[in-house]
Amino acid sequence: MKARRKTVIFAVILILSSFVYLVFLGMKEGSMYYLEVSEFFSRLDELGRQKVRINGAIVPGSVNYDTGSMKLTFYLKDKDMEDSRQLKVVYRGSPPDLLEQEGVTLVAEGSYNRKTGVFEAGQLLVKCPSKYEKKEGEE
Amino acid sequence: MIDFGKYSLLFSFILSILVLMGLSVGIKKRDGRFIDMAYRGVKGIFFFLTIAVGILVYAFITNDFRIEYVASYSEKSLPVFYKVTGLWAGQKGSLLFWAWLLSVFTFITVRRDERRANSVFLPYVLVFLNLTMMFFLALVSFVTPPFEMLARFPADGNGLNPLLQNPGMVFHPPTLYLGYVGFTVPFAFAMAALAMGDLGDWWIKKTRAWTLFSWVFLTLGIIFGGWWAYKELGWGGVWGWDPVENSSFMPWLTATAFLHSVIIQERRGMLKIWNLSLILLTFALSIFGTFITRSGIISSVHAFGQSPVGYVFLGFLFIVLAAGIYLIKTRYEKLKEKNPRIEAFLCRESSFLYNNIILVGICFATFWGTIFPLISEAVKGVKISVGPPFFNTINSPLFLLLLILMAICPLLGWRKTSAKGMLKNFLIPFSLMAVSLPLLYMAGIREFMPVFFFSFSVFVIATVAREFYLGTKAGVKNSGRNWMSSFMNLVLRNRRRYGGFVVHIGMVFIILGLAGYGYYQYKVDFNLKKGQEVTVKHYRLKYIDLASFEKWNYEAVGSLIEVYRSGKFAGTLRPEKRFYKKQEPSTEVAILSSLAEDLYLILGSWNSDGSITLTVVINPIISWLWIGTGVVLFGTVWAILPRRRREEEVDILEKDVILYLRGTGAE
Repeated sequence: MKARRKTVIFAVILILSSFVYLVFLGMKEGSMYYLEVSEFFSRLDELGRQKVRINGAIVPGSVNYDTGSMKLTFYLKDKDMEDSRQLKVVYRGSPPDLLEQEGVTLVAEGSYNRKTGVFEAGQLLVKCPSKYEKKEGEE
Repeated sequence: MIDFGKYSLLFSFILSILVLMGLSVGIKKRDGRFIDMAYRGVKGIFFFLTIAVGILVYAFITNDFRIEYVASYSEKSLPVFYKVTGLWAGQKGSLLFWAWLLSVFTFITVRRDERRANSVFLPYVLVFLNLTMMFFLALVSFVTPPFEMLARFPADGNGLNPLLQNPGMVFHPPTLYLGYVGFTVPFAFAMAALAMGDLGDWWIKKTRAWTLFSWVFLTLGIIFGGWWAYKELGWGGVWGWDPVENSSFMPWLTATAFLHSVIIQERRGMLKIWNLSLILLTFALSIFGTFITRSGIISSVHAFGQSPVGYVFLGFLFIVLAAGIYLIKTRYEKLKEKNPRIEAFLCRESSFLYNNIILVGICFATFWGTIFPLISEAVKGVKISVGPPFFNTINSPLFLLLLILMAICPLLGWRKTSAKGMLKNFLIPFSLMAVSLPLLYMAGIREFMPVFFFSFSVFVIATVAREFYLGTKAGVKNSGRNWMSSFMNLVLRNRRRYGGFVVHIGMVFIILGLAGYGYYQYKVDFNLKKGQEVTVKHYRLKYIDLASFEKWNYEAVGSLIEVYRSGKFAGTLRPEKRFYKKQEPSTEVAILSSLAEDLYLILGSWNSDGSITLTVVINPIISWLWIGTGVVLFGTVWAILPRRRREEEVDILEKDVILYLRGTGAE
C-alpha cells in the first residue's frame, strides 16, 4: 500500500516537473518584448535583430501598398503623442482591413533591419479604433 | 415605458436585498415563513427582470433611439433578427442579459425543490445565488444602466458592428453566458454544502445536470467564437490565444476537470476538497475573464470598451475567492475525514487524477501566459508578451497526454489493474493504433506530434467502440436479448457513462480538426490579373471578374473565382470586401468546404486595372472541428436527458434537520 502510494506521488511529481520544463521551454520560444514606438527606439541597441512586438498608431496618409510586389509600407508612431519618432514598417502580404481608418492602432511583430532602418513585420494585428468601442458582445 | 424598465431594475435590486434579509432571519430563527418570503422574492426578481429585458428588446425592435444603448448598437435598416441580438451586443445589455439568466436559473432552482419536505439546503443555496444576483443587479441599476437616455434623440442609430452581423456571433455570447451563469448554480450548492457543514456528495448529485448543461454551453460558446473568427475575421484560423479567448478557455478547463473528478467522489468518496476548490475556481475564473475583457488591462485584439466595470468585477472576484477559501478552511478537518487513499499507480482513480492535473496544468499555463505582460511590467518594468508559440509549446503535449488518458482510462479497473488484465484490454486498441501508423505515414503525416495525435485518436475510438461492444455483449449473455435490443438497453440505461463516451469521440474529432489545421495549414498570397490562373496544390483557381454592388446596408466589392479541384470544376467562390454605411469595412471570405479540407479565399485589395491580391488558405480536416462539436452536444444531451423519475434524489432527511422549512411542524 505504502509503496504504491509512493508511485502515485512519484507520477504526480514527474508530471509537475515536466510541466515546469514545458513552461520554461514555452517562455523561451514564445515570449518577446511588447513595446511602444518610443520605447522601441530607446532600446534599439540592446534588441539587435531580436523579434519584438510594437504597438503604435499609423501615421495618417503614410500607408502605401504596392500590388505588384505585394509590399505594404507605413509609419508607426506613439499613440497619443503628436511628435513622436516615426518607425517605418514593411510587411509582405495583403493588407489587413481597417488600415486606412482614422485612429487605428496596430501591433506589428517582427524585427528591425539596421542596414535599411526599416522594421520588417511578419505579422500585423489591427485593433479597432476606440470610437467604435465595445466591439464584441462576448462576456 | 423606458422609466418602467428602469424601475423594474430598481425593484429587483430592492427585492434581492429583502430576499437576503428573509433568508438570514429565516435560517437564524429557523422560521419557515421568512424563507417562504424569500422564495417569493426570488420569483419577483425573475418577473421584474423579464419585464426589463422585454422592454429593452422591444425598444430595439421599435427603433427607440432615445435610449443611448439602443442608439449605439442598432439602426433602422438593420434586420429585426440582428436588432434583437443588440441585447447582448454591448456591455450594458450583456450585463442585464447575464442578470436575467441568473434570475431564470435561480427561479428554476427554487421551483425544483421548494415543495420538497427535505429541502433544508435550499435557503443556503439561495443565499449564495442571491449574493451573486445582488452584485449584478447593483451593476445594472447603478453602474451600467441599460436604460440611460440620450439628451438629444438621434434620427438613426449607430448601427451594429458588421463583424457582429453573422450567425456565429449571434449565438456566441448567449451560449457563453449560459455556461458562465450556469456554473453559478453548482458553485452555490458547493458553498451551501460548506456553510451547512454537510459535506457528502449530495450537492454533486443535485447539480449533476446543471454542471453538464453549463459545460456544454461553455463548450459551444467557445467553439461558436472560433467559428465566427474563422468565417468573419479573415485570417484563416479559429484560435489565436488572445487574452479574451483564453479567458473563456480557462473556466472551461477547470469545469472539465470538475466534471471528471466528481465521478471519483461519487464512486469512492475521494477528492472532496479538490472538487470544492475546482468549482470555486471555475466560478472565479469566469469572473476573472470578465475582468480581463472589460478592464482592458491586458492588450487584446478584441476591442472591448474599456470601462471601470472591469475593476468592479475584480473586487467581486476577491470577495468570492476570500469567502470560498475561508469556508473550505473552516471545514478542513471535516473534509479530511474518511477520505480513502488512491491505491495504485495505474487505476481508474489515478487516471482521473492525472487528467485533473493536466487540465489544471493547461489552465495554469494559459493563465500564466495571459497575465505575463502584467507580471513582467511590474517586475522588470517592460512589457513582455507571450504569443501563440508559448501556448502551443506547452499545451499541445499536455493535450496529447489528455488524449492518451482518454484512450487508456476505460481500459483500467477501479482500485487496481492487474498486469494480465491490462494486457488483454490493451491488445486490440493498441494493435489498431499500430496499424494506423503506416497509413498515416503514407498520408504524409510524418512529424512527431501529429503522428501521436492522429494515432492516439484511433486508439481512443477503438477503446470507446470496445466499451460499447463489451457492454452489449454482456447484455446478450445475461439477459438473453438480441444484440440490437441489448445495445439499446445499454445506451438507454447508462446514459451518463455512454453519453460521456460519445462526448469523448466528439472531443477526438475536435482535436483532429485543430491538429489538422494547426500543423498542416497552407497559406499563400497571389497577385492576379483578370483571366489569370494559378495552381495551389491540387486546386486551380481562375480569376474571372471584379464587380461592385450594393446591398441593404452596405456596398461591396466582390471578386469571382472559378475553382477546379484535381482538374474538375468544383464551384465558383466570391470573396468580398464590404463597406458598411456607418461602420468600418470588413472582409467577407469565401470558403469551399469539404470533409477533407477547406479552401479559404480572402480578397486582399484591388487596383484600377482590375488586378487583385488574393490570399489562398488550405485548412485540412477543419470541418471535423464543427462535426465534433455536434457529437459533443449530442453526447451531453444524451447524458443529461431526464431518466424516468426514479427517486434518485439524495436522502438528506437522514442528516440532522437543521431547520424546519415548510411551515413550522406541518408534518
